[in-house]
Amino acid sequence: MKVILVDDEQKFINMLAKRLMLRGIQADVAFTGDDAIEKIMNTTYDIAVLDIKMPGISGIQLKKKLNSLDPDLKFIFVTGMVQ
Amino acid sequence: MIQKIQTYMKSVWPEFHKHKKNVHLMPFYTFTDYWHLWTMSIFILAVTALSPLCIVTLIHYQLIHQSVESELNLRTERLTASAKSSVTFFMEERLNALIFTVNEMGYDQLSGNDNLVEILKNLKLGFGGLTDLSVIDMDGNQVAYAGPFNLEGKNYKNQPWFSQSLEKNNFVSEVFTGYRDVPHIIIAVRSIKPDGSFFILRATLDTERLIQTIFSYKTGNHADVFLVNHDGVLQTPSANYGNIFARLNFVIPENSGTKEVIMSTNRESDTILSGYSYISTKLVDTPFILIVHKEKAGMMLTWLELRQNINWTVGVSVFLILLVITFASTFMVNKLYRVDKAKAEAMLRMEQNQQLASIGQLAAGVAHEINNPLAVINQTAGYVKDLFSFKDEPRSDEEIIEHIDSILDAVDRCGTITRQLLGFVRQFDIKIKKINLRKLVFDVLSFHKKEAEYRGINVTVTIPDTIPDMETDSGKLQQILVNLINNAFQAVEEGCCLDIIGSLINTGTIELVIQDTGCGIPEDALSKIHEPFFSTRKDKMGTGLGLSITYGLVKKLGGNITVQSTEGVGTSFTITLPVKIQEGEFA
Repeated sequence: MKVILVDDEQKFINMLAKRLMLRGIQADVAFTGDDAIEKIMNTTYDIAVLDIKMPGISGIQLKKKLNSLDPDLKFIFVTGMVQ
Repeated sequence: MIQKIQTYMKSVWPEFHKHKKNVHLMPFYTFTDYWHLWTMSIFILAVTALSPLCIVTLIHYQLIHQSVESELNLRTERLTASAKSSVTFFMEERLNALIFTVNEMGYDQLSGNDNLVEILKNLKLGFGGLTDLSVIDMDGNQVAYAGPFNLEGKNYKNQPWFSQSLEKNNFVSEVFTGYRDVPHIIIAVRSIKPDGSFFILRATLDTERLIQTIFSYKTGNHADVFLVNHDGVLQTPSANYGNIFARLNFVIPENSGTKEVIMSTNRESDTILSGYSYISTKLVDTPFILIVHKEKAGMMLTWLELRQNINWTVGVSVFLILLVITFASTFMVNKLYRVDKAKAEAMLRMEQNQQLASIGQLAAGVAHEINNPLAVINQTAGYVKDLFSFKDEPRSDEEIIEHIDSILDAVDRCGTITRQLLGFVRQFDIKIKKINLRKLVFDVLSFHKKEAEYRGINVTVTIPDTIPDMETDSGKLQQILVNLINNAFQAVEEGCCLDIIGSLINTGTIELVIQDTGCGIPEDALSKIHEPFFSTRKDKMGTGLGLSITYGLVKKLGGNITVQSTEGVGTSFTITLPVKIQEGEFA
């Protein structure tokens, strides 16, 4: 299984990737929406883990773009938003 | 009953007298000096209420005084006219009787003593007031005499009255003593005989009868009626100027042909109303002037009593009015004080609530800020645990230390955020301390860091390092910044700009401009934005208190705040603040 993790909080996303890899899941990280799009264009992923609030493009907008690139891609959203 | 009285007394008791200055409440009071307000209220009400009363009383005094004076003048004039008529009639009646006798009897019959005695008897019966009767020829010899004195054969050629009587057909003398040494008046009628010579029929009038006639016009103790001759010598006794032949000490006015009333003062400086009239019969002028004197003060006694009564009434009225005004003013100012106090307390509570509300507005940013390091802690701690769970061999120390450092960094981030938040949950006491404005601005902005990033808001802070540290109430200044920056963030759309520019405009004043390129404020709302409960964001849960409290806080710090805004272009708030304020200088 291949997962891409997209979040601007670099330490968090790196740590999450390491923990997934310990569990045998191949995890790539992207710190911006553009970075994620570029990676998806080159690689096929099963799941994309997206932060909803990010500088530039938001997680929701990114999901639409990634979906257009890979309709089979599944999404998991994570957020620190309280509202 | 006692409780009711106590409640009433409490309501009218001047509570504001005990008004103590509270540094937290004072800025919210509409009035600060209630003593001044109370005294001004009493003064203005007293002037308003008493002025008409005093003016009406004075006008009333004046009118009554003028009316009484006019009445006195009229009465004196009437008395003078009546007395003059009587005296004139007295003289005319007797002169006419002599003329009738002379014309009826002729010289031959009159020159006989017996006839003259009979005529005198008849005249006394008809008119009275006659003492004797005599016939005098043109040489001054008394030809015939009827009367009680032994005056037969007397010659009057050298008597002043005789020479005066030769000049006119009829004559009335002054009062004089003559041969008989008794005050008397002579009236004489001259008649021409057929041979061309003349004779005089003379009668002596009893002054007592004239005195009684005049005296009958003396009314009350304050009036004096008497006759004087043209030289100012009394012809009848006067109550004020002495007996017959005494000389008056005042100048008698010239004959104006009618009766007149004048005002003068006597030796005791009492004001006197003087009526005078020159006595003149149809047949001949007399040497008499009738004078009526009335003491004004005596005549005005009734008016003075009335004035005393008016004074008492006005005095009691003034006292009652002042009493009512004092009670009413105390009651009103008391009510005003209580309302003002309640308003000030409510405003203070609102300020405190608004501070909590502004903390609430920060909560989203705070939560996001804390959530991120917590997530890092969570993941790092989980990874450290995973290292021991998934790997058989222990990892190198460096890697574990690295991850634990990461946890510590994240905890430190949380601590910083918590400390910043605690900076807002401060006590409300005024605490003046040194503040770095630049740092304070960045502290406040740190809560909006993520929001600015997510919404693409370009925040720039231009505060030179050369700006000196401020000595002011940090809590209040922090809240001012939170309110204005929160407002700016709410006003701007994605991609807009927020500029915070600080500068030292003079050695003691710092200017801070917070300008955004947001939606702006409508022109008609600009003048109202500092009013409590005025909000342009009612539909977005705006309380309408933020800017009004910010305005109050800036004033408390001894500063000033102005706003410029163009709808659709942006808004710029300019705050000027003193670099240093003393504790207690501003509250």
